[in-house]
Amino acid sequence: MATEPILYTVGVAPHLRSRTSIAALNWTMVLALLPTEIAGAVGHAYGSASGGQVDLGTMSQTLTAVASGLGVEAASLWFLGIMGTLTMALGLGMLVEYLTQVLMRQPYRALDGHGALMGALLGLMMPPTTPWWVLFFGILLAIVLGKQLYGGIGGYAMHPAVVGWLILLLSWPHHLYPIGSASIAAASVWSVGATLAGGLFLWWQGCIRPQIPIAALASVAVFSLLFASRLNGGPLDQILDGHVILGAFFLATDATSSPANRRALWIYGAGFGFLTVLIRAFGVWPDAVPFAVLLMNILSPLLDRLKPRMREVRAS
Amino acid sequence: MTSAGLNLSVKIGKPRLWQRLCGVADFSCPLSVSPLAFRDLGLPPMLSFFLGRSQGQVIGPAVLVGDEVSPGQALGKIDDKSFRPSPVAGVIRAVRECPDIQAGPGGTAVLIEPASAVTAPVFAALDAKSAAVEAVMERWRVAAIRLGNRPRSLLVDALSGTASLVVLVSDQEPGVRVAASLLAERGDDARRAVALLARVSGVQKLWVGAAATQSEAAGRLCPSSATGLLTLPARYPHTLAPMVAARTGDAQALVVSLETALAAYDAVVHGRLQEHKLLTLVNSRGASIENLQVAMGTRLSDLVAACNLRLHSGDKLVAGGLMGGTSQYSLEAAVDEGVDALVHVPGEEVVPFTDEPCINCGACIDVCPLRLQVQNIGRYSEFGKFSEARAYGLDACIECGLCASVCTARRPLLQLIRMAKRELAQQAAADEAVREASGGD
Ligand code: SF4
Ligand code: SF4
Repeated sequence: MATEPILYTVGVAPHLRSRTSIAALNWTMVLALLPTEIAGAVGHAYGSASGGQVDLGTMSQTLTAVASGLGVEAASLWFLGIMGTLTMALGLGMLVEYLTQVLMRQPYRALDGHGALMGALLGLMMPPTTPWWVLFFGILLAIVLGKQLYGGIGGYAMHPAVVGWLILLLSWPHHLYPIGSASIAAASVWSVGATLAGGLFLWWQGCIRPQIPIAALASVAVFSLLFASRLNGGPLDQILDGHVILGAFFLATDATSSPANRRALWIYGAGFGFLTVLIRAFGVWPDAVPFAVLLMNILSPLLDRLKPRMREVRAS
Repeated sequence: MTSAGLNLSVKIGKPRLWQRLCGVADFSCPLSVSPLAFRDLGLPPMLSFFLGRSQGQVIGPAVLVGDEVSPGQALGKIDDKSFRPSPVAGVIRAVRECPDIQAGPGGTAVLIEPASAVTAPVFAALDAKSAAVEAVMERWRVAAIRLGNRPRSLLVDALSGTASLVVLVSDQEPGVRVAASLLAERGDDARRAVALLARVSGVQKLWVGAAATQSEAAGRLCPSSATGLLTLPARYPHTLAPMVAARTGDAQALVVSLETALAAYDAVVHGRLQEHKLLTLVNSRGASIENLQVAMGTRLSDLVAACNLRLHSGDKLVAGGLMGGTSQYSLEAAVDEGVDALVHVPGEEVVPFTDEPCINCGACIDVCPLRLQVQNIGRYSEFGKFSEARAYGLDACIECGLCASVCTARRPLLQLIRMAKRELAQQAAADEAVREASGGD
């Protein structure tokens, strides 16, 4: 009886393995951003936020203009335009990552979702009135300068999306902070709430380590009481304002640019909250979160020196 | 607490809710101690005995094809010293290259067609209470009582030079229920075996190591004050030999399984060789399926057939437990002292390791029982910086494999750790040799 020889899989121990992966982690985070995207788009399209000022320079507006020829209601088109922009940002992140990996002769990892996550985050941190080429440039900078030049995932020291955002801010502040318009993620209290829901979902899924958001939100609350005289609004306003929730759950928790040890995570989160309030109270920029994330990223290797004490195995 | 009879499926990377809320990425990996009856698989048509090495030297065959062997006759030799007594009577059918069940290719095995099961004792019976220490030791040597460690070593060799000895009555790997079942079946013999070891082993301190859930049964094994009871959490990896040794306060302590202790006892009192190996058939998620009693030297092909395992290309067959066992590439390998478990992992459940970079997520640190900086050990080891890896706790690692179980980037962390340890040991040996050579001039 001739049968095919059976070829077994051989591999090193352990053989009991978790099925998590980098791709699962990143795509779950992209998924967790969906509520923010929808709430932000709804906020801008149907709310009072922007809608009006049309100069056709933006992707969203171009899409809106194209589709309005088909006779659909303006607000819905505006909504679809924003969602389309965010999807484009996500795809662009993957494309840029793929191209740099081809150029750098790296193994292709674009499908692991990290580029997509960076694109989506960057898109969310911009107002819908941003011209499409600014967004494109931001993603290019984020992936090339923020990530791939450091060797790609696992190698960068600072959150790529935040790096991209900051370069844009320094180059075209009026596009990132136009008068009377907030970023998509900060469109309304609903989009902030949706971000919170997405963040809690990530915590539940074990994708982020809860120390960072807990410490961050607590320290924002505490320090905004301390600096109350220089801020408008109480601790809750400070937490719900701008990108604090997004920063605490999605930006500061990025695995590569945050510390690995638990004690360090508490300090890292608390430092993020402190810097956010400090920059808000004394700085010139309206939103301090990206600066705080970046500064804490730089400190993170230092914080990781706070190793946990090696656990002793004691006789019982 | 694991109650008896509960299933013991292992959840890797799935912390319980409260653990998640507190940010403890710990995971539950309970070890069941409820006994399971052993099914005797009987004598297969062919037995295979791997000769392997003894203290670095290759053991050569001492028999020729066609020879008849009797129980106790040596199958291998180095110079004039004989090794590997045959536990059965039979005819040598082949002497050929065979895979080693714990280390893969590279050795000779002797294949015997067994005549019948052994019934009569091979050696004269000794009295456990009064036999001279030398006589007992000699008996253990000729009966070749071996430990299931890596690489296998003789009990007598391991005993010389150890100050503490632990008889471990709980199982080390998830799903394995050999020791727990043996304790229930042969509790009285176990007590006498411990007493015998206490009398002749010459160690300063003898411990009985037991999971907290079986401390009552284990307590009966140590009547005298010289024997201490070591209560261990009933969770992997707290019953793993290096962890148990560390708990005695003497990291060099020798840990022997209850099965080995009973084999040593049987060799003395009943004059028997270790004819059987007990093992548990475990599923890919760490739940025990059944307990088996197989003839020592049973080949995996016979074992797989007797267990009705349907194997396909791409599946993994692991001998020796999910966390530390060896995946097999051929069914020619045969059961020996170290095989406490057989696991069949279907191809679709195999999670391959990758060469992705570490993303610094910290899952490995959270799960490590010693809280080592595994991410840095892995990174340095990957790039050949082994002494830097040492600064992050490499030497303390007990090789439980949990870090590699949960790694987000699916990095082969355990492999990297073992490589670093091995390279450092080789470097140290080379340095030592140079120092000796220059000192001798
Ligand atoms: S194998 Fe990994 S988890 Fe286990 S002790 Fe070593 S470093 Fe820690
Ligand atoms: S679990 Fe893996 S990816 Fe995460 S820190 Fe440890 S080695 Fe790095």
